[in-house]
Amino acid sequence: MKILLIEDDRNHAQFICDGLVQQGHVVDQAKDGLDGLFLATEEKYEVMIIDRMIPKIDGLSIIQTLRSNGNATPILILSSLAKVEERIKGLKAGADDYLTKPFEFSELLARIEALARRGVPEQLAQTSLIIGDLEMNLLTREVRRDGVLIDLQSKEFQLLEFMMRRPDQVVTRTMMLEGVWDFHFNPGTNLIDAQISKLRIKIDKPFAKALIKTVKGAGYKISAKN
Amino acid sequence: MPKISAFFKSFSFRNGVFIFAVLLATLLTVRVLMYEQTVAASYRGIKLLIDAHALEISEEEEQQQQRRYHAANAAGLVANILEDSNDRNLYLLYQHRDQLTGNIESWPITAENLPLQSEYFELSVIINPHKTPRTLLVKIVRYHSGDRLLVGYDLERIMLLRQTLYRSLIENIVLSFAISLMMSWVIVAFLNRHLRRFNIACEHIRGGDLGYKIAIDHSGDEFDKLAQNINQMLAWNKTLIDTIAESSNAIAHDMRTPLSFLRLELMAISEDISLTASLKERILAQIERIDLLVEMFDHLINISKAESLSTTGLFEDFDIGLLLHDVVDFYLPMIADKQIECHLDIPARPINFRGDRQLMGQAFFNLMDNAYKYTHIGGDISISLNEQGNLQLREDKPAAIQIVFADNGPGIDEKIVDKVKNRFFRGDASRHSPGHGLGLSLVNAVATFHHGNLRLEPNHPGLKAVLNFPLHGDLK
Repeated sequence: MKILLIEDDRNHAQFICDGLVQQGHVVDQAKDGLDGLFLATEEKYEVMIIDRMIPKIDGLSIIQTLRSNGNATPILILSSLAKVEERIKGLKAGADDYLTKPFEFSELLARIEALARRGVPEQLAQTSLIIGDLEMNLLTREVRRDGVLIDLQSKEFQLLEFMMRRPDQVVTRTMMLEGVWDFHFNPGTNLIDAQISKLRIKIDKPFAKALIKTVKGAGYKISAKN
Repeated sequence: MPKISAFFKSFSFRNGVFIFAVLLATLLTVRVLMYEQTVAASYRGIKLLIDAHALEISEEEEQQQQRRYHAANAAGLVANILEDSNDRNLYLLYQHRDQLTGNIESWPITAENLPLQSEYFELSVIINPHKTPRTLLVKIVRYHSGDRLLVGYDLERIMLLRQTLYRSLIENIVLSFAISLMMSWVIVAFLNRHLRRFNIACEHIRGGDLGYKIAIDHSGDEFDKLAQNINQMLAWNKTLIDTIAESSNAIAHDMRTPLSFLRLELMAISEDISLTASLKERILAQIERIDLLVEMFDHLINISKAESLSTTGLFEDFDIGLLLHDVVDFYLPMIADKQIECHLDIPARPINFRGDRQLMGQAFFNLMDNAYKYTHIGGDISISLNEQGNLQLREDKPAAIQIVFADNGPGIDEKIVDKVKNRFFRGDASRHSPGHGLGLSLVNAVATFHHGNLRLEPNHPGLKAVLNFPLHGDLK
């Protein structure tokens, strides 16, 4: 994947860049808003990572300029400003996701991958989601595994749906908190682990094969693959 | 009823009453003085008249004594005066030995009705048996010869005058009432018109519109001057707040970016397979410390945000019961692990609330976390949400929400119960558990932000954290 990173902090930028390259991505770096806007306009990227507070041109202005010029490349804002209103400002300016510093590198990776898949038609229009022998009927709100009806509470259903809509993708705890509970703060990430445990008891425990997998240091993913 | 009681408590009403009272007192004083002076002047006139007649007759009596005239002269003079005078209100009675001359049938003074001290006195006199008693102002003159003279004047005119003045006084009171009521209404309306400008401005500013300016009508009066001063002060405050916001953004940037780098580096190092287990553990502990620092920073930012009371633009309608349920739900597995009994009393139906959902959620997490942390194994936690709308606490605040987190942990010493809401305060019980002493200060700030309050009460044993909120109608 070709990624543009606009970040003024040299150490931070280098670390992200190295990490992404290690994951097999191609990364272009810009240290200020002017260079960043130039690269974003001239080159073609699959994802852009833009710091909000950068010299010369502010991150939000870059995003607004790109969007007003018809550039639809998925953009992730990387920001030190953690308040919800700042997040709203970023998303309103045209960004697709917002990640606050400090963050786990796995979180950044998971979000970049999720953004890159936005181009792929999602399963939104589908009436059911299927992962291996696990089937979720979105109309009747029934979940069956191997034909056995599984009784889920409302939030458990939403959490499973959130994961099943991202098959084989790492879903971080923060992504779950935001996507399922709409909590844009960190109440203590081990709380999510307890929710996943509850879900596992119903989805995986009675069956031979576990579908919900822990991705160490990153989060979870649901996959029928071994 | 509360509207009426609010009206009675209002400055407008009290000011109106004050103005009315002052005006009424002034007008009444003037009227009463006028009344008293008019009556007193009439009395003075009558007394002069009485004195003049008494003097005339006395001079005649004196001459009569000197010349040894017959007493009939003075009596004759009395008869002449009465005859000549057309004044029907004048009464004279001259007594020489047993002979009475005058227009009163009998000597009216007895030992009982004779005043000892005063020269003039009022006396009820029966002029003749067929007439009703008359009230006279009377003067008695005694002569050396033993004769005596009574000069009286009927007070009927003064009585009439008194009645007229009294009626006029009542009319004046009514008129004064009407005038003062009207004047106070005009003054109050004038004050209210100006106060409304300031109140609207306050509501805008509280609502987060820090750039709002009070309208100036350029009349140059005190209100205009006050508005100009307040506008200048607001502009200055806005500059300060903007500067602080910019500074905190800069601080956030300068702190979070290096912390982020530090965390990423440490995390990368911790994944090095050549590291010993103990070293890895130490690195992970440092990462946890960084997370704690960031969490503390986030809490401080949230407290400042809630205390600034200026972000109501982010308010949204949400089901507060569902939010509470979601938060509690996170803890249920851990509560079960600790064998804690959890009692939930949250209505199943939606309870709409307008506020900052993120801040409220954070506050619930903090209270739930405290309850979980401080409750011993096998203890009890109760969480309840009550809508007190049916209690009608106050009719102008028709419904309120009360959320209670009760545990049977160690509780909080009454001596420090007020301090635990302060930033960075940590009681003895919490000193050895993770945290930074900001949890309850955030809850308190969030409650205040939503026009509510946080009360910490003993639960015998344990702690009861009570959050009270008005419904969204009060979020002005």
